[in-house]
Amino acid sequence: MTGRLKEFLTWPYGIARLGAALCAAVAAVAVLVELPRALDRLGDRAEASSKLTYEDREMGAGLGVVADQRALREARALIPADGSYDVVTGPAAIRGATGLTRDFIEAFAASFLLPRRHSNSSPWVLCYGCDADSVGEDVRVVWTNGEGVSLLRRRA
Amino acid sequence: MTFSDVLHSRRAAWGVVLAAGLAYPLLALAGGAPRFPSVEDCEHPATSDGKVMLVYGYFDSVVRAGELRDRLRGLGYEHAEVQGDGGCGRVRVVVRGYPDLEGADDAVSEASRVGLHPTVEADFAS
Amino acid sequence: MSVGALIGLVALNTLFLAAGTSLVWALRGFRGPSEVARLAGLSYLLGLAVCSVLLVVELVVGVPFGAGLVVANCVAVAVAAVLATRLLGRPRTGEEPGPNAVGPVLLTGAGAALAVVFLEAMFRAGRLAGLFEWDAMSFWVPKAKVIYFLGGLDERLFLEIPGQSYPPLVPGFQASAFAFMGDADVVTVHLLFWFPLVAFVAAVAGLLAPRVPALLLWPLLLLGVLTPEVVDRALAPQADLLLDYFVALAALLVALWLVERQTYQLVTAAALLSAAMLTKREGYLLTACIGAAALIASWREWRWAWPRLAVALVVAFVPTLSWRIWFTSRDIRGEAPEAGGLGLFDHLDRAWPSLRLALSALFDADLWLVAAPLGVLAVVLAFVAGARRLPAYAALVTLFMVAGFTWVTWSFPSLPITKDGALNPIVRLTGSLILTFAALVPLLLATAWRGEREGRA
Repeated sequence: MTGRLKEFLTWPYGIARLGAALCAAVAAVAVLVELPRALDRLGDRAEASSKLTYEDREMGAGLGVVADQRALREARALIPADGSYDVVTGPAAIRGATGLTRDFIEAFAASFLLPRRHSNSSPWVLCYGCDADSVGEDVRVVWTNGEGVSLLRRRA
Repeated sequence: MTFSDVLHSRRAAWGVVLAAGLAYPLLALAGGAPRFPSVEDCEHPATSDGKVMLVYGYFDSVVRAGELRDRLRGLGYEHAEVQGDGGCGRVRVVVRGYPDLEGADDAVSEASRVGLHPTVEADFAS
Repeated sequence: MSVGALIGLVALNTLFLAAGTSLVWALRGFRGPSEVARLAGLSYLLGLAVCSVLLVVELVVGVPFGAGLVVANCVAVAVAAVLATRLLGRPRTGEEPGPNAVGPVLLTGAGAALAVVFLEAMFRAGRLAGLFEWDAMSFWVPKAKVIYFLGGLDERLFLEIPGQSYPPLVPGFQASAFAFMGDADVVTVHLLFWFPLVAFVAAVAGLLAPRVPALLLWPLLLLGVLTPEVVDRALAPQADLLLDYFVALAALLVALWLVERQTYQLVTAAALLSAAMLTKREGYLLTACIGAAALIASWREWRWAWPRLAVALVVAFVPTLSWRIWFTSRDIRGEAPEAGGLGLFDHLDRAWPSLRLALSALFDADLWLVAAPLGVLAVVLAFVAGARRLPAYAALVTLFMVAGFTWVTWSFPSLPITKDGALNPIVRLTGSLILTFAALVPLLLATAWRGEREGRA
């Protein structure tokens, strides 16, 4: 036994072998410590995902942006797939808005409403805190939540 | 079979892999079968008396649902209303307030005479 | 989120596996069914790489996208592999380790068992995950939706989505998944990225099992994939980890080629690097690091090695030209660093902080556990044991990648010196080297354990 141990202390091959064995041992300990933690984290993630409602799961990151999911869902249901939409934001109060809402609603809508395209001249307008009268001529409120978010239709 | 035999046994190796491969899913399944969520998860057919409602249609749009609601009110269903479906992203047109299945079934028969085909669902919102 | 969507994903990835298996068979052959299984991970990633690069070229030239195109690509690749074998014959496999694992096979089983449990947990975590990853929501998935809904690279929409110069391999991969799932299912698409993760673990294990003792292989491989960053981001519908798998596996194959000189190793590495360059822009940087390291490490046999490496690098680069022509012809900018070339010297004060940031990210145990220190130590030990070419290559890959990561922060003065992933990509970048360590370190430690000089004349 001592002979074998002495082999591990010989330079250079013994030291290299000892080092390799130690590296593997350290890695093995790290794996045995980290694997249960990873399984725990992954299990928590699976549970959290499972508890989401269908609509929240579909909305994803948009939950922190859209203030009211209904607006995007109305737009998706009413605007034809080959149609377009505009996004207009304004300073009016929006219930449920976050710091991300006004800056990122256009980016989120671009993803959620695909294949519909964004167009500044579209008859459909997603209004986030905007003044409906100022978005164009002959503006009709198609849907509103009464709390700062509306889907408008204007003369193209 | 010696310890060395076990160490070099392919069968033992595969056994370990198989055991681990089955253990995790079995543990996970102990918490219930895997779910495959769909919008139909928010439809709850009524199976017993109690708070029951008639659902006249599911829609992706409140505006479209509102059109049906207005039509129902025109036909005399004064209490027709639009409500969310409870988390699946759709809305539905409902008439609520039926205390039992028999009453709801009668209402379904009556509605079919005017070309409507509502379903009977449990009313969790009450 | 349906069973049908899952079946669609399995079908798509089975096609990639079948195409890749044909390619591996054409390049090196198989000694039997167990070798087919052992190299399945490599086959899948090779099939994914080749079929995805082909899809990118087709999208660029305007071939209409659809599920049929994806199927046709996989079939075409497989048929081409078979025809090439018939016409050209197959290269002699030569002296290669046998298909059996080194050392007690029960230890291999134990390592594989831990990997299986981890991968199952990843699957469960990803199955119902919402699209909460910002970059995925902001541009990776929208680009995939554009390809899926509109049948190709719709110029107007692509130009409106952020990251206009980002290559379209991952959007094409995701669009293929949408086509096979029958819907732009942004939830189930997380599981699309489970397949490359499984394949990476299987590929490294499969390539190294006949060469590396199980006790050296599995702890180091598992350490790489159990790092918190990999666990947290492996299933994000983004390009980072897929890039890392391509790069790490290519680095391993080049290492094996330097020692064993099997043509299939270099050819496969070239295909993976081509895919890497079409996955993220960093793919070019990482390919250059691997190429330069291999050139220098093989300087003693430069007459034999350098022409082959040059051809491999050129072949890897050529398919990427299609995408570069597409976006440069549309005046899309954003490729070049803010302080490129000599401009670096106007920001000399950023040099040291950038290097310190790169090293800090690499050795951050909260991100990468002890993967990096063990990687460095493995290189040293292989040198101590008398090996030269392999540890020199690994050391150079490490040095060049660290230099590359440093350069990224240094040459973009608008990037703050921070490990916050929302502000600086340094953590994502270092992932490439960590997974490269996961692939190379077992080989280095095996070399150190054997205490032999590697390589043949």
